[in-house]
Amino acid sequence: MISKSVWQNAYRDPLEKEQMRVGPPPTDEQIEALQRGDLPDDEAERVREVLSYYPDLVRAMTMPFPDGDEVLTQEELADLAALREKVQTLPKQPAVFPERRQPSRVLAIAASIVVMVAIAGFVVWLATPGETRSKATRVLIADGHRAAGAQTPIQLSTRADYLLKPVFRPERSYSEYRLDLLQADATPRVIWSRNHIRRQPDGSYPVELSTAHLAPGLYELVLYGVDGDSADRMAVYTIRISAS
Amino acid sequence: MNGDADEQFERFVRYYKRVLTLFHALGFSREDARDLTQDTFLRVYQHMKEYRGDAIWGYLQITAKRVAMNHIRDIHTIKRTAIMESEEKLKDVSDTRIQPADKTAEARQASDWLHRAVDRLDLNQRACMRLYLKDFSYVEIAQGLGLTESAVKSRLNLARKRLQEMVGDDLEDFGDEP
Repeated sequence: MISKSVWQNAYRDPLEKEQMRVGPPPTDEQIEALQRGDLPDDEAERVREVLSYYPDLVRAMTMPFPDGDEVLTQEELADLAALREKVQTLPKQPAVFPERRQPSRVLAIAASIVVMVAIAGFVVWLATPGETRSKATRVLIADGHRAAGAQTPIQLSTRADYLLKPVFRPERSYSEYRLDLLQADATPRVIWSRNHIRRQPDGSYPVELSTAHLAPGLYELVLYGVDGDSADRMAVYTIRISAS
Repeated sequence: MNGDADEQFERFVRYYKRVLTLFHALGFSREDARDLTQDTFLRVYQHMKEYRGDAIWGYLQITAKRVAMNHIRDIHTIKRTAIMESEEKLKDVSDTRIQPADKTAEARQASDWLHRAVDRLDLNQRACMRLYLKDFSYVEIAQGLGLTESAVKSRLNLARKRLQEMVGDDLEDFGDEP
């Protein structure tokens, strides 16, 4: 008779050998797509298979936040003080509801210099024959809805600018829509956010994308339906921008 | 830092202890848990402009879990690199020198056999069974793998039957949740 504990003991051994065989753990994007049900069946099973070799990752996903003592120890208070100090050294973040402030005289002079330099640069740029960037229109189908290779990112190039037309049929209409472009590496960050977007009669949400200053890599264009203060995440378009 | 952002950040900081407790509960060392907590709040601050007024606690949980998962991935990357490097160094060394001392060849063989038996299950049963053997509850397996709880139960039932066919004997204690 083989008991469950015998089997569990076998699985208590480190899984490094198996992990080497199946490859690195799934990315946040794969896990989120799996949990949203956006992956085709065979891809979903493949991600589940890999994930099952990384129980520590599954534990981090599923563990509820423990309730408990909210009182901070001396060490934790010191850590918190250090955190506040670190925050002071970071670039200033825009307030959620920024106050309108009068610019100082020094700031006004600095701004004038910046404007003059920018104008001079623009004049030089106009006088210099240079490469003209092409502009292409791309219709984007959301992740999980692209028929073939549903998980293959949409390919774009840094050599062109684009009018992107993500298409999506929302379950209900919203007063307006928002599109966020995120750099989708290990620590996703928002590159830009475009508000007040209207759904067009063809079902698209057009937005301009200039790739000139984007690093090659993986990005996510995320479409939100917005009503007042609330925003519903509706669709994701994974994009790979390459230098070629 | 301007007033509003400062005030907003302080609303997050109230949950400092709970985030730290999560990292402890996930088994990170005390130092790692402290560092990851700081990372979580720094990340919240750096992404404050993306915060759309959702529930603060919910927003923090997502951020903290992402930080934890990224840290776990980093650990695995380091391990993989170390294994690849050591395999390269040990490729000319006799096998007997690199066997772990705490395990007999027989025990290793038995463990390998059990792993192979689970590997022979259908693709859609294997992942559930592996997590089940790692003491995950049905609910946790469902959450982790993006399945419904009933799908997990059904897959595990089929897996149990299949394992029973393979071992040709009863499987003891295999019917219950961990």
